[in-house]
Amino acid sequence: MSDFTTYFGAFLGVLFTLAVYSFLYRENPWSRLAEHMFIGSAIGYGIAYDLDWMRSQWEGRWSLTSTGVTAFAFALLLGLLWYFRFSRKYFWLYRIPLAIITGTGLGLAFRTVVFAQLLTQVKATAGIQLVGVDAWTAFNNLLSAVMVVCVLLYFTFTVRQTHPVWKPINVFARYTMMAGFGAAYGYTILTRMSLYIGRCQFLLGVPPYAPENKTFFPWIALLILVTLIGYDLYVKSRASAKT
Amino acid sequence: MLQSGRVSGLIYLLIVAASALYFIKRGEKGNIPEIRRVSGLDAIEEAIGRATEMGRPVFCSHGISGLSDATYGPQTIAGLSVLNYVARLCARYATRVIVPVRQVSVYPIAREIVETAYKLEGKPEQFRPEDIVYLSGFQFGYSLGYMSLMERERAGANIMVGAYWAESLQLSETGARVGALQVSGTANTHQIPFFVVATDYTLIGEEIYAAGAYLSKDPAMVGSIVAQDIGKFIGIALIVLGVIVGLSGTNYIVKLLEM
Repeated sequence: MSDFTTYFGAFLGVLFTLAVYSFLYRENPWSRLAEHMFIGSAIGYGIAYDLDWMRSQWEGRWSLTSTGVTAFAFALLLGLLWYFRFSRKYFWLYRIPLAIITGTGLGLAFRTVVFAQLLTQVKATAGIQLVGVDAWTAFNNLLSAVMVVCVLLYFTFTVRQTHPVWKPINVFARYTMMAGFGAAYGYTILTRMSLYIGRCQFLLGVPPYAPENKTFFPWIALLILVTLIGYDLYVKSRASAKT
Repeated sequence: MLQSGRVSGLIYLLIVAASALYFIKRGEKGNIPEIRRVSGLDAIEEAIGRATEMGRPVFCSHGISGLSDATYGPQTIAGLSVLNYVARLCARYATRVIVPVRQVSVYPIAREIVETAYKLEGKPEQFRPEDIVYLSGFQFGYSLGYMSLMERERAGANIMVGAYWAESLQLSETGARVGALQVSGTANTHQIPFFVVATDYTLIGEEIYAAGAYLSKDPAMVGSIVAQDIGKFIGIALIVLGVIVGLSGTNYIVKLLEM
């Protein structure tokens, strides 16, 4: 049994990896199969996960006290209000849970966002050292401060930026951002390459991946390639027959 | 009573919140502050016009985040404002608008926005509920569905404004491959480079909020933008003062912020 599941798991893993990669050629029945399987199983998994989570919340937690039971029932009723979206007459009821979720989430996050998004950065920039450090560090620090100020000014929307002084500020801000974006792009591409290499290792059965993968890889790759070419020829012949 | 190190944050928050409230109230009385037009907005009209000429549908998404997060929720709201604008233009030009959705909680809102847009343009019969597509709650399930949909429907324009993560490049790359004119925007700094590289026009960072406010003229959104600007000016003043005061050797501004 374990042999079967290992082989079956490896087969499915390789099949769907290659089916998804076939999208790079163009949208085709293989990629469509992978897409529908992925979306369908993700939704199924999501529902099962949510139900399981709800059960785990109930057992041993909310079910212990009468207040807990009441609160749980209230939460369930609130959750049920979402389904009123399907009612033409009472659809507005779905806005109640939506408002509660949004309000609670925003309220909880509000207390940290001022620090995370602004004050920490302002403090770090305002506290740069220009004296008591070597000239290069002082220049670097000053440049950072100027960059931050210019980028902040770039993102002001209530000021009409028509005065000539805005032009150099905006140009400098754009260059600053592009330098930052370039660094972020390079960094992320490296991460993506690493993910791609990981997938190649999976297909080739390099440990810790199952060695069975490399048995299936060439056969499935061949199957997908042949059927893709066949499908393409079929589509083209059908299109030419129509014209 | 007040926790040390949090007083400065509280004061800052109170100033920004009070400014936002003031400008929202002012806006509600009809005195809406003026905010400048973000250049990327002209590109949206261009993209829809092009898709209309080509007879292809317009894709418009508002990111993959929900509404309940302080950082990402506002991006979704900005994306929904852009969706409202896009849906109205599409209804006017009788162009199909397809809205791929990831979050269950945002789905009814997106649907309502598009439906209302068609009604406001006097074409309620042209609204197609099936074009507001819930794809998957899973990030890459959503991404895969979105990409395939763009390929199948041959998107003429792809407008993405909201919070995006790793799927940003996948979506914009596919959009470019099918020949769609793309307008993108996100405040997720680490994803902006991908949009800059792979789409035709990009709204950078906070420009998406300004775009949303500019398009909706909603007093709450415009008031928040003005308050944000006030917050930025305070930040700039503190930085400049900090740098100058720091030359003396003791940085009182930093000490003030550590209160």
